[in-house]
Order: sequence, then structure tokens, then C-alpha cells
Amino acid sequence: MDWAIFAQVIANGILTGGLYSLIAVGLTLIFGVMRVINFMHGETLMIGSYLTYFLFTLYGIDPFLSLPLAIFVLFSLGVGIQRFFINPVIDAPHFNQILLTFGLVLIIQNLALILFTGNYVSMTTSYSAVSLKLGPIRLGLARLLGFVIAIALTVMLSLILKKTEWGKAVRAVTQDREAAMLMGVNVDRVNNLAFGVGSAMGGAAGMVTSMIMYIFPLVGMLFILKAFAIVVLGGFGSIAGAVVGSLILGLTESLVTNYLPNGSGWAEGVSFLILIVILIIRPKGLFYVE
Amino acid sequence: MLNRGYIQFLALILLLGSLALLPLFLSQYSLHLMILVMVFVVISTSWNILVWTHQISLGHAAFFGIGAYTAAVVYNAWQLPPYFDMLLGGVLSSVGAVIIGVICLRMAPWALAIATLAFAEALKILVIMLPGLTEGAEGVALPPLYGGGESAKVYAYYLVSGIAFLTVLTAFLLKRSRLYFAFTAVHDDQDAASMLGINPTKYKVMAFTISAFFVGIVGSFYAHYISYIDPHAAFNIHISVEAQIMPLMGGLYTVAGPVVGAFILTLLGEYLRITVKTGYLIIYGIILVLLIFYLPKGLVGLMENWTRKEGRALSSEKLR
Repeated sequence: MDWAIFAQVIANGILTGGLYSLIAVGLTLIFGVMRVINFMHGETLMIGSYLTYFLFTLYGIDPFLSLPLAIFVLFSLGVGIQRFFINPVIDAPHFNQILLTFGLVLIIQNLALILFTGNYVSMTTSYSAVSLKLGPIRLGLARLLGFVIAIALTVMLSLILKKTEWGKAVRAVTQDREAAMLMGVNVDRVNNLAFGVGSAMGGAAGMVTSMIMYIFPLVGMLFILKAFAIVVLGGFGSIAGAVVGSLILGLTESLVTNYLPNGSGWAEGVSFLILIVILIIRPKGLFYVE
Repeated sequence: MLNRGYIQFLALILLLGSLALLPLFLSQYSLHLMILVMVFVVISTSWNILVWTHQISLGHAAFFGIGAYTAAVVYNAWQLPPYFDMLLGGVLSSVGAVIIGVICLRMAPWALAIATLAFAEALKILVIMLPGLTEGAEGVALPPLYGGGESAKVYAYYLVSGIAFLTVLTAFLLKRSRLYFAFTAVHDDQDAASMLGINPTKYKVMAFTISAFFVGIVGSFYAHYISYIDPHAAFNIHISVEAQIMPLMGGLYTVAGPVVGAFILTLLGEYLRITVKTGYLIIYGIILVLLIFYLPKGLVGLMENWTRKEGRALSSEKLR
């Protein structure tokens, strides 16, 4: 076994895991607070990607500068969608909510297909081809910076959840909705902000993906299934679980890609395998605490 | 005394009777559309059976695909009569449903929703990655059903109508059986149901298995009828989406609803596909959202509201 290649494979897996965590953390936050399976989450990523792409190609704005904008736009969109679409059916069966977010997926996806066509696009920044050499491993600068953004935003979210009034309310609602309500927590407001923040995380993930891969209207679907696998793996509603789950998925995919024959094809199936295995052996996820 | 179920059944017989005469009047293209309608009648009716237990599948394409690939692989290996493939397709789909069902149906509804979606995608990858068995992404060709040609389409139409009839009949009979009470008890109050000696998981798995069986059959039929199948067509997420929207439009929990939904949306979908081309699924999304907000009981529910005045006392007593 060539250890230099192995180190490279591990590094790639960790970088990919970072990107996954950015997507999964938002999804798990929304589920934890609202108990809504949000299929629309992948579309926040898609919108974030196109936003970054068009700002760069039309106005030459660097992706890193459009990050705050992507976060702001997707936050507003998330708040709006929660307010006008999800909130009216928040007490309906789970079932209606799942179908509703699925309907929103169809609308947003096909709107993108009409506006942007189904073509794959990508952008080339001045640092797209730059890579850093760390001993035996090479890391693409864009991927590395994307990883740093992912970690920074996740840490920021955890701090917000720990320290701020809203964060405490979020954790209270996640633990016990009715008790929180009795304690005077404004659950509507917590829901609203949680959906906004979760969507903003998705938008940030879109900015990161736009730098390192192709963008197309169905890109959200590609990630949402993986994000669900991660959220199930880490335990629904657990932020730490989502981060660890992301790293596990990223690493496994990277190992499969490099060490199995036809690995890149099989790697696409890893998330589903993990999902099924976890549902069998530990349906509440690795990090579920009663 | 008017028995609603009886009237529904009569209307269905009448409808199927007139459908039986359709090939006399229709062009080849229209007949093809009617075959598609029947395929979706089977899919949406089956999906709706699962809904009685308040579970939803977001991946019914998995069962359609299992059926289609059973037909492709088994036929090309042994050239048995297509009817055999169809039955086998149904059985293998049911086996898949039992496996996924036993794993997920003990848990909250989201577990099944996500697992079914993943199951369909996982099967697609499996089919692509095992070209020795399935010819991979290139797809498999099959000889045309009934030797092809004009009359073949008429035969195919009768065959798929027969399958659709059996599916709807099964749903109809199930709905009047004791089993239906077990199914709905499971969704109304799981704890109460288990206290009364109804094992919720058992009935959920049963509903799921029945549901998958017919979808598998019609998947096999489709592969034979189109005489070509590839992973992206067989495990198309579009099929899973239609499976949800059609019953919702027609009326969840009812027998007639999924049939009505399948007729309207298959024909509307074909019209949109030809006229709009890009992104026509947006209409489906809008319909889905509007239905959830304004018409959660679907068209059949709407009709029931209109006819409620007569026999309200009767129906409220009988339909509880």
C-alpha cells in the first residue's frame, strides 16, 4: 500500500465531508426544531450555486464576496417559505408536509430548468487551478477554502445555539416543543428563524459547491439524498451528529472511489448503504441521547 | 337505501365496459396514451393502498424498476411467456417491499419516506454497476409484446386494463374488508391499535407488500410493451412523483380517487410535455402545493361535499 496515496485519499474525504456537513447541519436543524422533513433543502444549495455563478460571470464578483449575499438571500427565502407555506400546515400530518416540500422542490427545480436551461455550467476563478502541497498531499485551494468556510459556519452556528437567547430557545423546542411553549418560548418565531438559518446554511453550501463542481438545476437532488443519509446516521436534530456523519460519508466515499474497481460509480451508492445499515442497527442514529 | 360502495362499483364496471370498447375508436397514438393511463392507474392505486396506514413511499419507482428489470433479465435468459415475467416481477417487488418495510415501518413515517427514495436510487446504481447481469446504463432490449404491429397494441391495452382492473378491484375489496379497519386503526392511533391486539408493523408491511406487488407487475408489463428498458427510465423519480400526486388529486384514502387522478394527470402530463417541453413539471409542483392547501381531500372529496346533503345521516353513520 502506498501511504502517500492513502493520505491523499483521506484528505480528499475530509474535505468532501466538510462540504456535506454544511448541507446536513441546516437540514438537521430544521428537522430538530420543526419535525419537518424538508426536501426543499437541496434547492437552497442549487439557488446559492447559481447566485454565486451569475454574480461571478456577469459582474466579476468573487465567490467569497458573494457568500454573505447568498446567506442573506437564502435566509430571507427560507423565512418566507416557512411563513407562507410550511407554517400553515405545521399541525397537519407529517405526510402533508413531506408532499408540500416535494411540491416546492418541483416548482423551484423546474423554474431553474426554464430560466437556466439544463446545461452544466462551471466557473473558473484565478485560484481555481492553484493547489497547496502539504508533504505528500496536494489540496486544491478552492476546496480547502470551502472546507474552512464549512467549519467556520458550523462552529458559528453551534456557538449561536449555545450562547444566544434564540439558540437556547431552539434547543428547548428541539427537546420538547410543548414544554418550551409553556415556558413562554415563541415557537412560531423559533420555527421561522430556524428555517431561515437552515436555508442560509444550504445557500452557503451552494456557494462552496459552485467553486468546486458543475452546477445544474438538479444539483440539489444529488445532495439532498446524501444529506438525508447523514442526518439519519448522525441522529435527527443533532448538529454534532451531522458533522460526524458527514465526515464518515466523505471518507467512505473517498476510500471506495480509490480502492474499489469502478469505485467512482459505487461511491454514489455508499450513502444509501449507510442509510439502510443505520436504519437496521441503530434507527435513531449514532448520537441519539434519550 | 343507497349503498355508496355499490354505486361506486357499478360506475366502475360501466367505466371499464366503455373502456373495453375504446380500441374500436382510437388511433394508435391515443391507444398508446390509454395504455399509459392504465399503467398509472395501477401505480397510483397501489400507492394509495399504503396511504391507508398513513405511510408514504417516495420511491415507488423502485418497484416499477424491479418489475421492469425482472422482465428484461428473465426474458432474455429463458424466453418464458411474458405473463410469467410479470408475475415474477410482482413477487420480487413484494419481496423488496417486505425487506424495506420490516426495516422502516416500526419507525416514524419519515423513515419509510426517506428509505424508499434511497432504495430507488440505490437500485438504479446497482443496475448501472452490474452490467454483466443488466447490461448497465445502456439498457436492455426486449422483443415487442404480441409480435408488435397494430393489433399488438390492442392486445397490450386489454392486458394492462386487466391488470388495472385487478388492482382497483383489490383496493375496492380491501376497503370493504376487516383488513381495512386494521390498516386505518394503525394510522389513527398506533398505541390503541396495538392494545387491541393489532400488530401495527405487520399490517403496514402487508399494505406495503400488496402495494409493491401490482407496481412490479405493471413495471414488467411496461418493459415488454416499450420493448426497451434502461436504469434511468425504470427507476425514474418522475414515476414516484406521479404516484403521489395522482391519488392526492383524485382523493386520498378513496378507491376512485387514484383512478380519476391517473386519467387526468397522465393526459394533462402528455399535453404539457408536447406543448411546454422544458420544465413542464413545474405545473405538477403547483398542483401539488395547491392541493395540499385547498383540496386535501382531492376531487372525490369535493364531489362528496356537493352530494353530502342527501343522506348525510346515513353516510356519517356508515362511513365512520
